[in-house]
Amino acid sequence: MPIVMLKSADEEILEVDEEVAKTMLRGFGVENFDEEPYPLPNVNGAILKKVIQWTEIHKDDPPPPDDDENKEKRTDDIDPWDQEFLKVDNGTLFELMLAADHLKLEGLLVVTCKTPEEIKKTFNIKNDFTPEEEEQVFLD
Amino acid sequence: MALAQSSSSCNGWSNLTDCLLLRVFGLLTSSKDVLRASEVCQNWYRISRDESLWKDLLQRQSCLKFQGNSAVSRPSSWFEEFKWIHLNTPVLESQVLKRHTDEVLHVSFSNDGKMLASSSKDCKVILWRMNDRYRFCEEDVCVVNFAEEYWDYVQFTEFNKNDTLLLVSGTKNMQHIHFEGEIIIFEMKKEEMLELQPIHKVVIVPYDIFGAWMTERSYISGKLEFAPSGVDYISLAELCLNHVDKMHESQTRLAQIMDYKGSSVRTPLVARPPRSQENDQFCLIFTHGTVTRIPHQIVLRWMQQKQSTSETSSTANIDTALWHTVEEHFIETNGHIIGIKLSPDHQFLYVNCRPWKEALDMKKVGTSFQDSPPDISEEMTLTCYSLATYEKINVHVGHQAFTGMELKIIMPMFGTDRQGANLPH
Repeated sequence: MPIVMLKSADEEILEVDEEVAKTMLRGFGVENFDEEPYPLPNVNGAILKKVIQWTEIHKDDPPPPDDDENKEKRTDDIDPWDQEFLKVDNGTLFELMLAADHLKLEGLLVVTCKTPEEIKKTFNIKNDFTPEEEEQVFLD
Repeated sequence: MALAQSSSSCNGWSNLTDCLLLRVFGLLTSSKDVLRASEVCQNWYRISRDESLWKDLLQRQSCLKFQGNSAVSRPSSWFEEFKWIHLNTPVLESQVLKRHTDEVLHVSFSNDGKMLASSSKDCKVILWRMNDRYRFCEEDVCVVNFAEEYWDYVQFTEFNKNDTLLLVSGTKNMQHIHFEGEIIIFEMKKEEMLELQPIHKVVIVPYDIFGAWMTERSYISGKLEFAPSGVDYISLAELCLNHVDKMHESQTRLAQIMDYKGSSVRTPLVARPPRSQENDQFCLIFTHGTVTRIPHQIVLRWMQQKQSTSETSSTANIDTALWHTVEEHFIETNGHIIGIKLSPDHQFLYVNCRPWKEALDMKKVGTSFQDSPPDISEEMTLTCYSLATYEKINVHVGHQAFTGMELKIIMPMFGTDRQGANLPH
């Protein structure tokens, strides 16, 4: 299996299976790799490693359909491997989201966005509205 | 304190692009969560107002899909629409009234909000009275069975302005005469017992013209005559004024409408908005079809008493005076009109409509829908028009039509977003 090289924002060179790299960079339409490492100036090495790790597992996934039907099942149906994978601190999670967005990795974006516990936690600090106050939020 | 805590756990959130944050917000399933998010910081507030979020929330709440359909009017803001529905839709079920034995086709409240008249397929009208604890009592009712009048079912009621008379309209059970209905006017006795005493009757054709009060003691009925051969129109509809204290012969003709496409005049209403009171005008409103038999157009005809030198009409009795049209305006709804209703102050007209599946220029369709009307979409819209400017004030979409092409009679009850409706809670 041929190996290709990727260069992260912090100049780290990572060796990746060509098939995985192609899947990962499908959004960029990269078909062939040169001798030179392929530069990814928006993703740092630590995050790139995580993204590579995720892509290795998910490289055979069918591309997620982006029609509205699929949006309806927005439950917390994240598969166990991903759940484990996403047990990271917030900073890393956000960087993963940004990287997924940048690399147009829809599947990774979906699972990273699907951890709204943190957002809930943030709100619940203020979650002591009475129903009247809730009306008020609307009226403001 | 709360803000300081949230901003510390917010580190990283600020790095997210608007797009990503919007995606995360889009995963919140409750409007409350989105509203709470909006309180976190300026940026979150801005993103939480994104129209796509509120369109989604409204779709999920109403189990509807607002598809791109050029024929269906859209609210100008999905956030405002969500808010309007949230704040104005009564969600408390206070009482269930169970005396009817078949589908209830229409309900109307008295102007003082203390009585309720329900019309049903069981051929009965039930007049309910509210007690001082805002409850309707099953014992304190008056039931009138119209089977005795040879009716098939009762479809519509309307209280007159001072709640002394009740107009009841229904379909007659005569197989050999199609489309025939009747209006019966009842006097209400509101003593110890509720009582309804019939005092006036008139035949209506077709039955779904319903009828409407014009003044406290006069009402509008309608009839339709098919044209004799040799003329270019199909039928001639007439709206007539009837006085409850006079015999039927004293009917006055208010309007005559020729029809070329097999449609008929329906749901007349009389509006007296503030503008009309200066010059003693009123606005006669009805629905009609000009290119197909389905009612799709609203006619607003401003009428005024004819200046007459004869002494008989100088008594300013508007019920018997002759009227002439001052001004006429048409509203094209681009859909099947299900019902129309005035706001209590007569400044706005609410129109319940099933829009066509595709937008049509009704002026250009010619005869293409003469035999079968255009397909209608599955949503229903409630549009509010100003009677002063005829402009669309707003459009509400959060409700679904349950019937297919076979439409039942559904009248909008109240749709007022600025006047307190007479709806008891």
